[in-house]
Amino acid sequence: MILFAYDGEIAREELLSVIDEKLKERGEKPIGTIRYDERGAPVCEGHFVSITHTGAKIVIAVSATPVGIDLEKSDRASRVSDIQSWTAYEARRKLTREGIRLSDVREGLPREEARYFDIFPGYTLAVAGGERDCETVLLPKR
Amino acid sequence: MVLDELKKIISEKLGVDEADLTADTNLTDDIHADSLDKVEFIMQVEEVYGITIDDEAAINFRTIGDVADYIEAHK
Repeated sequence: MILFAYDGEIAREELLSVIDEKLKERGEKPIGTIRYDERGAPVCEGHFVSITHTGAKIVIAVSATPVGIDLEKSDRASRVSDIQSWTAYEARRKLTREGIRLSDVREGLPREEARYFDIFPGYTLAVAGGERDCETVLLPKR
Repeated sequence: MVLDELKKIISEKLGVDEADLTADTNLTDDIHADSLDKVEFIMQVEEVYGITIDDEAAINFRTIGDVADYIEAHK
């Protein structure tokens, strides 16, 4: 699994084009066109992908197995949950493509397993599913 | 009016100028609300109007007007 990270304003299409270049350099199939299913989850041929962004920071996970990711500012104050629990929950819901359930929020979020990555200082990135081997690639600003 | 109240809530929550908000303002594309923003917004709306919003409806909220229409139909 590769976590492609980018910090800055960039069109989604341009960012995907940069990622495709990186994948081709590695001899891997490019993502190509991403379409979105009825719940808004990204779908592409040949990979599982998950996309998260907050502000100008974006992370795209490309994996051979289903994956869900979520990025939030670590010091964000929320009435709903602490940020670690929230990011783990949202990552899991993206992995299973079930979407967020308001009843979960009302009753208290279920404890979900996730791995956490420190790609951007001050931000929490939770990853649910995906391959165990994971590489992070911080893409240069364009 | 529900729409005006929603614009006020969103303006205070996300720091967006209320004057820039309309019924057609897209929560994701126009004011960049993420999932947590939207959930917090819905929880606040439920408290303010004393309603419970179901998951399927919430998933389909795209604009402020969508939320206003739901409230008008369920309050």
